[in-house]
Amino acid sequence: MPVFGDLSDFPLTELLPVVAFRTGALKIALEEQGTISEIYIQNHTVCGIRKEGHYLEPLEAHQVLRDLLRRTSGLFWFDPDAEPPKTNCLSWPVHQIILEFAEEQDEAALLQHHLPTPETTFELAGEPRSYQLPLSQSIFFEKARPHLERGTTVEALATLLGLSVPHVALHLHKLHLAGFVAPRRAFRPPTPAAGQSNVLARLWRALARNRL
Amino acid sequence: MNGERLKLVISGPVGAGKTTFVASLSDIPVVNTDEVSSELIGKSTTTVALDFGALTLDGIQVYLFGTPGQERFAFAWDTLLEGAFGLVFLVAGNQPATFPTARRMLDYLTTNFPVPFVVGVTRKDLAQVWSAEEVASYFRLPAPHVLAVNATSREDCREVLLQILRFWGVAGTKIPPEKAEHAGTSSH
Repeated sequence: MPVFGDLSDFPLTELLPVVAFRTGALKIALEEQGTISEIYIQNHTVCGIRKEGHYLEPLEAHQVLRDLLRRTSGLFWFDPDAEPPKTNCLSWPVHQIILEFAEEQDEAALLQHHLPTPETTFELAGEPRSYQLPLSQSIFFEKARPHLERGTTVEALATLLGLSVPHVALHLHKLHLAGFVAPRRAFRPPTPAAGQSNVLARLWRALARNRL
Repeated sequence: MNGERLKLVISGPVGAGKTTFVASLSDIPVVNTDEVSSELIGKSTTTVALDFGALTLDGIQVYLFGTPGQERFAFAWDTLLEGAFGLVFLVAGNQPATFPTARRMLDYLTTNFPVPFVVGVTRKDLAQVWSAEEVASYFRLPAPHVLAVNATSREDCREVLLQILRFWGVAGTKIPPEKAEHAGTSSH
């Protein structure tokens, strides 16, 4: 057992680079959950995240990894005999995961007053963008896209994806800045009932000819 | 909307000029609920419930409801917006610190209530002030949704009202020729 210890001494941001050159699984036991999470590593990349005997799909794997990166306690050990998955390797570069996590923590603190309210509805922006999103954004966007095609609130999307509301708000805010999504305005012009339209047209005429 | 009565809501952060805007358009003395402010907000009083004014044109009564600016009164904004034909969302162009909260609130309101809106950038007479174009860029809104406004100018307030009606698609209705060029103005 070449590497072992407690996250209280070695947070995962410090630990991952230490084992990144190895092949095997970094196993972390979280006492309060009573579970062991396994991070499969090969050639400086995370190949898979396994929990309760199952490899997780990318969005859930990313969420578990983020959760582990935040942990300040939990026993860990490296198992060099654990074989990374032979197919569907996530191929997430270790250094990229750590950098993005650090950036997200900084951004979350910095942008907390800029983030949309949980009730704000978003949809895909009209013109699709062609440039590459960062890893975490890309994983989120791929999973959120079907819901955003229909339009969804921040909190509904958080529920659908099993993520926290602040996390989803931060992703949507960044996707908004990047032009991938936009708030879906509720007003759809103009289908007023005939009577309303008539009143509004009269108001328009009265205003247009009158400087008040 | 109900018969010949229409409701216009004027909202936005503290100090944006909502009470002034209502007063500029209203034909009647504005009913307000100002109280002495317990916070440092750059003025001695603030609206705690609503401002109310009314404008009558061609027999149509336009009720003007100004909302309180503090985000903690946001529940009142929801109630006031029900059935409104337009939302005027004012931000003070010389107070960019209020923009993040303003954008949060505007996005919330306009994605939850089917109401056309104009963002009015007030204090345009000051030297250090964000332009309508800059505010539109920050709010990520198309240019027609953002106008520079002097809230003390009845003419400017009228332009905002006209712009909201343009979003309803009634702007093409026949206008007397001698005034048509004036009504077509949409920017400052």
